[in-house]
Amino acid sequence: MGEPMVSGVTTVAAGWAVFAAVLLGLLALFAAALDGVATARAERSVAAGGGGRPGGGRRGLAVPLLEAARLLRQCRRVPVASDVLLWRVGVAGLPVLALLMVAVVPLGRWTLFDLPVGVVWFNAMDVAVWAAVWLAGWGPNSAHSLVGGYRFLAYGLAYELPLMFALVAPAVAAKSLRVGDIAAAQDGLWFAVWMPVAFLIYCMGALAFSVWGPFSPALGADVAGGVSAELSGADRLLLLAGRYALLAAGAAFAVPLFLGGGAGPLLPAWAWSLLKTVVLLAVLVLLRRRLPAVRPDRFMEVGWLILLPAALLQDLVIALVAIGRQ
Amino acid sequence: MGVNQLLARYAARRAHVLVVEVPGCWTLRVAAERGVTDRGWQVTGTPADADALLVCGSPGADLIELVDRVWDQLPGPRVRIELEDIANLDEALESAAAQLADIDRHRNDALTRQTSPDPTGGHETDEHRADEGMDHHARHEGMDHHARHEGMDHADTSHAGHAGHAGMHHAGMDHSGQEIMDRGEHSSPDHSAPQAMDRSGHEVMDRSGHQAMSHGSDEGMDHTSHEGMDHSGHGGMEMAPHGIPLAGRGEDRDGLEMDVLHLALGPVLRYWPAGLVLTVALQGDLVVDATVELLEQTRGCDDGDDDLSAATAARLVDHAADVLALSGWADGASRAARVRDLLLDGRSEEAELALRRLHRRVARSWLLRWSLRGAGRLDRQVLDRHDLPAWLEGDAYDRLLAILDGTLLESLQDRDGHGAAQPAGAATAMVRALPRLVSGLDLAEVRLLVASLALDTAAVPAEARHG
Repeated sequence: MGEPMVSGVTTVAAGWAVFAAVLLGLLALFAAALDGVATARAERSVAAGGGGRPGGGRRGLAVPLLEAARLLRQCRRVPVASDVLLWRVGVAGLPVLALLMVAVVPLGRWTLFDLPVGVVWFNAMDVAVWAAVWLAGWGPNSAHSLVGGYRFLAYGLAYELPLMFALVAPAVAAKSLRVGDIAAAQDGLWFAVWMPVAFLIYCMGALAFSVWGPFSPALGADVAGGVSAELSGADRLLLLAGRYALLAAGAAFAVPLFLGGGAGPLLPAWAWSLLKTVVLLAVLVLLRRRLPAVRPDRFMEVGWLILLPAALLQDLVIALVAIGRQ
Repeated sequence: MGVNQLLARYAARRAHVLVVEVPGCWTLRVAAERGVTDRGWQVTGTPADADALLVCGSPGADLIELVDRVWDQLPGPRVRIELEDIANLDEALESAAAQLADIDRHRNDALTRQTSPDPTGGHETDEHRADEGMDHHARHEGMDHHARHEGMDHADTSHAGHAGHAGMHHAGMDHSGQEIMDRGEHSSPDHSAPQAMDRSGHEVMDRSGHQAMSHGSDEGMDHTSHEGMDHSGHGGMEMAPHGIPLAGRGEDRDGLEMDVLHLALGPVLRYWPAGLVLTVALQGDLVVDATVELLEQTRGCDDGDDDLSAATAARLVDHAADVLALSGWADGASRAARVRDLLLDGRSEEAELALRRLHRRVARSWLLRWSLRGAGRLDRQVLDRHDLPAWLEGDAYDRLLAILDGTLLESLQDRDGHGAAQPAGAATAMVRALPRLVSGLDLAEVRLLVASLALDTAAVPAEARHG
């Protein structure tokens, strides 16, 4: 069924999209469970001398399933005069966008969608997250949600340009915007190694478009949950799942772009892709509890005065090397 | 039935609980939160996410009313727990778990209520839905397609005396009290060309920008209240979709005209002093004006004959936990909560060790310092002007360190080393000064500032609560 491409990546039948969705869902579930364990460990009772009550940190493992059961059962609450259509579009947009992101990520040798401009596609999807989060904040007609929406846009203004230029670096080095080509171009040397600045900025961007960790004030406790303040039941479940899915998609895309794709000894290519994704995802998940939030107004300065010039310099260096090699 | 039962069983193992602290019931609230997390449940900060509403202490009349309105906002299945004594905690949570798993009970509850909470204050019984006005979810239409129209001050004009909407102006709960009013410059409707109104005088507007008026009654409007308004330029209708007036506008700090929303912070708000209600006027997320109110002190809770010194220390660390949680550092907040729990359990040596470790981490974290630096800065002149204690000098980060390094605790202790509650004078001065202190800050800074004051609202004497 597949036709071989220049990059050695095979496009699989469209039906495999279901498999991709399931895989993304499993990765999101893994992320949620890991966060559940980390949280249960940190919040364990002092009474039991550190070990916690029966179950301890292990209890966190079941959290995503219990939460899902809880939210599936919970009624949907609709605030008065809310913009229900836009609200739901925004909330449901997150998991959909995550799925569209992974559509261009090859799993080892197979890909769903071997776009010649895969990098641009990914970038377009992550920009669309702006709209989704903003609509989710706007829709419920609540000041806290709205403030959450503002905050996300403020981050967006600061992280998006550095992220775009970070995505440019691997593309320049591989002389292609096709994700499979970029993975193939890292012969022996991962792009993460010789363009570390771009890799770090990319990871920060992935945290930011997932509204995760230091970039979570859009869902902050100080505004009663911000964008999520009025969400209940299935709507909340979609938003939370979408957030984990975006984080997983961000980690998955980093693999062909910076971490050598499916390359690796012994294991088959798909296993390496998956393994690298899981490891990076775990790191991103565990960062959440460890880092304080970066306030949006503070981050604006960093984004424009440090990250953007750093990303541009990285691009310049990469471009010079690429020219020199010819 | 099988699936429902199964979902219910799993769901009851992971209930999210909205905790309300009655002023003076700090010990009870902390015990309740511990009980909740120990069960593997979670404390939540918004009614939309809550399965259970846990009221710690016996609330006064004003708080009861607010709690009732928060209760209306729980999506359901929902359980309400009134906890007055620590001794009943386990039992109360156990019965809440059983009730949550009881399917029939929630089916009946769900059938008798609306999907949107009732704004009018008549709980659960009100049947009309079309023209609900509510304080919870005021619309901010003025920001986009309705930018040319100004809202009006609801309280003074249109709905005065309108029984159905009397509930609109209760200073609200955390995110429930978002009354949107115009501050001052009401533009007026063109009275010479009255628009059709529906029976109740509330036109529901659609989203495409059609105008509606929200005058109170058919039999003549209160024209006197519109005196002196400008009739120029604006289409000038009071826009009130669903009976909610639109945002009014005012000049922002750059001299541009911008919407003003009114939002009540507290008293049902996590990481917030009990019983404190700060009503802020917001432009974007910037506070331009504020008024403060303290809920009536009820008889509070009997905190027993605990070691006052340890209780004071625990309370201070709890404020540090609030600051850390608001700063977004989840691990830091958990650590502070552990120190608090150790202190409350009388394990002072372990607590001291853990506190010292936490202090070191906070002092070393450049990211936390960078993020909190400058937040809620108070300088000497401001402190002097408002008679505030000297230790508040600096920003939220300085105050966080002062709380954690023990200097604050020492300053509260008397000569024998016995802890004391916060001096009434200092607490009163803080509450009085709040509106001035928060003006010009953004919402995040306001929350950090208030948490870092380590304000004990119960210390404010009754006679200082009004005025």
